[in-house]
Amino acid sequence: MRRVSIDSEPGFSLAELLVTIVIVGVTFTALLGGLMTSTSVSSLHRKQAAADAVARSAAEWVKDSVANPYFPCATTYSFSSFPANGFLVSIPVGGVENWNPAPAGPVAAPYTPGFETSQPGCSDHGLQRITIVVRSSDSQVSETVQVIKRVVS
Amino acid sequence: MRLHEEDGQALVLALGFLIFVGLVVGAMLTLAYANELSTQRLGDQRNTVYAADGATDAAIQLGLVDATVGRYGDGRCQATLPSSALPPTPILLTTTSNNTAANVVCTWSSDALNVDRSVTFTTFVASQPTPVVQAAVIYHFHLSGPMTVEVTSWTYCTHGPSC
Repeated sequence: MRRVSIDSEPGFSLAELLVTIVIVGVTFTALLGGLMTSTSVSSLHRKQAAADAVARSAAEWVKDSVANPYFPCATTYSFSSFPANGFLVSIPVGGVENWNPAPAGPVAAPYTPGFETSQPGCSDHGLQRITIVVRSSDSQVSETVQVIKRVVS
Repeated sequence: MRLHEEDGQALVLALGFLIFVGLVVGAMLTLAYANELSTQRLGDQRNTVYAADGATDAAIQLGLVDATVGRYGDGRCQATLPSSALPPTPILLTTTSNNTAANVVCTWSSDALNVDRSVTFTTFVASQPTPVVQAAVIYHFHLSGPMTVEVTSWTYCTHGPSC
């Protein structure tokens, strides 16, 4: 059996080990940083996608003439029984706008309807523009969607 | 095997590991970018659809308030359905919601003798050359009581049948 002389390799293994530890340390730090960033970004994207889905549901909820019948000069619509899946869904103050003024006679094309903030007792012409805000409970994600609701005659 | 032949092997291994980790992190970043792009596209598509829906609803309501919309020979409408080429003219109505402009064109009733109006509204969103929504409605005239509207079809042109 061949004998290995320790004296023939003075300090090389230690130097290699130190360099390796430094490189691996730096690499692991970068890896952990990347993983943490990836996790937080993934979480953010998941919330954004969920908020988008809730915003669409809320928009359909508001437009639904059965769940939310058109209310002339409404200043808000209720989301009390809306399944918000942990998100905060609301219509901000002034978020319901009425079509006003409506034309008295034939309009010239192209016609652009004007909207003004809805108030009780206003002149209602069967059309409202409603702004819905969906916010995550930690306020990290916020989505806004506008819908136009028409009275069903 | 002599030990001094392994000089620098740890460094080579560390460099190899570094490259591997670099590739993994690169793949993760690519995935994150794809997620971000996907979320953004989803939001754009939502804004487009609700802008088009809203404009179409506004046009339908306009037809109730202005009883001449879509009447036989109405100069603000067309005789036939619009082609996909922009700009469709004349534009009956234009609205902006969700920071997205939508233009509605209409076809007028083909039956000049019928007091009820059969009108088709086709809505284009400014950024797209093809229609997004097409709705066919009939305005019913009543001797007593206000005019009513019946929506007979509501088609999303990019999903299913073309417009």
